[in-house]
Amino acid sequence: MIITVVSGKGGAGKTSITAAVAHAMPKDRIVLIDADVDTPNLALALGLERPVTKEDWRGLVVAEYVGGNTDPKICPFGAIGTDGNVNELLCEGCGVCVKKFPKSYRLKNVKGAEILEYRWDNVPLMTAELEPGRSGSGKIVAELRDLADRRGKEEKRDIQLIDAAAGRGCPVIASIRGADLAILVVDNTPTGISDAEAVVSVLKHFNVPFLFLINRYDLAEERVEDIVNTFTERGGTYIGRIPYDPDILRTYPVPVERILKHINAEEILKRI
Amino acid sequence: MILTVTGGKGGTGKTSVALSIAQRMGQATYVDADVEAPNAAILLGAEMTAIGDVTKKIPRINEEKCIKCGLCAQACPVAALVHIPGKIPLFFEENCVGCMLCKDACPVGAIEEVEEQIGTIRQGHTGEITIYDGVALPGVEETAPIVSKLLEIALNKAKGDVIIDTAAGIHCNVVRAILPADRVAIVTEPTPYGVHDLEKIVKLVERLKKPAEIYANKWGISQHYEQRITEIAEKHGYALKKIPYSPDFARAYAQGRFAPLVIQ
Repeated sequence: MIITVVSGKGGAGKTSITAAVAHAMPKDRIVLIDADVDTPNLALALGLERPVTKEDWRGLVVAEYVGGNTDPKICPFGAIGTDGNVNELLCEGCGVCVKKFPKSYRLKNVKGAEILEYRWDNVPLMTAELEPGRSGSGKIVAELRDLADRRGKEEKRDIQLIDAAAGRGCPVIASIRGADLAILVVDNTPTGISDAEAVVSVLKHFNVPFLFLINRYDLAEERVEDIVNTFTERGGTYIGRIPYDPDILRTYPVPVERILKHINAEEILKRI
Repeated sequence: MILTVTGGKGGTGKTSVALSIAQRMGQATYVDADVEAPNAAILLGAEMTAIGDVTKKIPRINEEKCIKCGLCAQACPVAALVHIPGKIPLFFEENCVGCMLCKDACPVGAIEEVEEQIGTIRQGHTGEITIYDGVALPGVEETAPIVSKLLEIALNKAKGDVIIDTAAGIHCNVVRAILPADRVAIVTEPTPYGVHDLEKIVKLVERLKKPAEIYANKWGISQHYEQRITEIAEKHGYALKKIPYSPDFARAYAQGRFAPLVIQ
């Protein structure tokens, strides 16, 4: 069973809500994944300071120019300069240059991230810290999910709870693909709603059913009914609304009970 | 002058700060480079018009011409074409980078190039500000080409100062939006998460060798984390601008009434 928490917009409250949902789950059955590898904050939200293990992830591939014939135009990502050199931060490692000019380019593995494992009591929390500027966050998420599968098998844990990144591109899709359920956090702002709707399109694309909740509902209470109707019509199940509480932002670990009392956790537990 | 506004963590106020700066500039070009969650136009209530499609080249196999030799799959660097002997190759579009090496490799001309849309570039106006943004189609994984195309179009057309608003994170789409910048504005907030992510984005900005300053939003909510931000700014020699926390701003924002932030 894989459950992914998404929102589209950054800062909508995914991580705090993931932490709260984790508290509501049977602790002996879950593995947590913080798939926001750019800015992973779930460990911090749970009050975990130190990972149990930390390893370099060198699964990222980039091209290197060794001299000779070249043509900057062949790179689909604009990573080759007029001198033939590769800007590693723009290179996606697709290898087109190597196929085209096998004598001039080669692929090499570089450090793309550090993979970290925390323990929240006994619950494994897998995450990674992307090397600033690197691409490949989708691949890193896939790697984290493999690791979580392994931990799950070893420790007989059958539920994965994934805190996804903001946006709806590669790393988010890598978090959604194969999920059994999503929890959509709708930030009650015009931008939060627009971004959440865009994520619903992606959930539909991958046939993932979803529950939704509204964050900061009281900042524009008159809109709540509309939001509930909109996302219900799109197939979601409404599971709660959380008031605006700037105190949650500056408190760490996240005061989960203050969030959890506004969420119908039964509805989540019913699905597992 | 090109100023890129970024911040690592989402929801710290990148777009609000960027718009507040733009509104003080008078005639300015505003590029919303968060193509997975473009929000500036919504905040300003600007009507946006599509001015171009972003497409990606993909191969289409003519099944009648195909001789099932598998050379296209051999030429493909990313396993987007997979050949099972005796069968027409399978195409996995999500892997395809559009290089068309398959087409060059096909000995019988059975592969044609088709353009597939992955996003749209839009333009709009509000007051003296011209806004450009890009919208990725749902399910598109690789959004970097949309960011590149958007920047190319907007920077070509821009007159006067340019503000580029990035996505959250420290990934390659953020890099693309920082590369053309003369200066970078890093938006953060005095929370444990804001500070944690600030250190990451600072590392990226330093790696890209751009002069920068820090805009600390929601100033006044936590002395402890304000102290941490001050230390980070001093350590890197960045000017620190403070934006006082305002519950009224949060409410107005939620209700769709954007008012420029007060930057001290």
